[in-house]
Amino acid sequence: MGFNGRGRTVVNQHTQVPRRKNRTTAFALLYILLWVAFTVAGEVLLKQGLLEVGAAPKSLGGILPFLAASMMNIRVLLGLACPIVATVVWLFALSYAQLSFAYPFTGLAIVLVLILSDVVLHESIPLTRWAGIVVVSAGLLLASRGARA
Amino acid sequence: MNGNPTFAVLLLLLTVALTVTSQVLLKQGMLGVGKSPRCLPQLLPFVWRAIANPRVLIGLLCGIAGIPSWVIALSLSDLSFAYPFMGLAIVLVLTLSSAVLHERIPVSRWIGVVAVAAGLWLAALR
Repeated sequence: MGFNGRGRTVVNQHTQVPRRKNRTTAFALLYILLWVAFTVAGEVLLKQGLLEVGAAPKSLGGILPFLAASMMNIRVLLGLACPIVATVVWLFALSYAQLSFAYPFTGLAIVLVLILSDVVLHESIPLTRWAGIVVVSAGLLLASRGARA
Repeated sequence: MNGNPTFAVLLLLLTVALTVTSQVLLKQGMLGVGKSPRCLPQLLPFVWRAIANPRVLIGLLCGIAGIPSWVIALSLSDLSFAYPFMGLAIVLVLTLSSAVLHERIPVSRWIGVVAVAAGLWLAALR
């Protein structure tokens, strides 16, 4: 029986461990990409909202009305909520992924914010920015290979 | 670049230090908390348990502390100057993942992360 039991365990390890590892990686990636989405959405919503509200006043007396107007703006509110959700999602991601697997994806969020800020501000996107996003994506493809969770 | 460059660099380095510390503490804490549950009703208790973990809590506070120093640094310098420091943060996090968290990091990941940092520098150019 012991022999049979051991034999079965070995078979199970061979058939199940890779699949479980793949699922873990899939969950990690899902959470990491959700984090990227919430982070980027938050930055863009804040910028769009503050474009509607207007620039912050330079005098002390204008600060309170400015904050009040910001808090009445739906985009600003959503923009503030996004990073909170993103932080929780990041904890989920870290519970599955190695830090060295997850953290490089912050580079993706940064280049996406750079590109979208050009779009929001109606500015043309420089060629170096496109080149940068290509290099970052290639780097991520390379960095996310191998042991993950 | 406008404002005081030395002050901006100091703030950027402070931001990097706080961010990197935050990430290592968060990961160390989550190693103790365990994997997140896959069914919805258990999510909230899991989040609560995570935040109650001292390392996660201090990690979150470090991250929050990094926000004002990043914002002030950004107001003193161009994006093209500030963003490469985030590339530095990614390389440092990788180094500490290996040194402190003892993660096994394949050579391809080192190369990939250096490419990500280079891409950030390129993307922020103006």
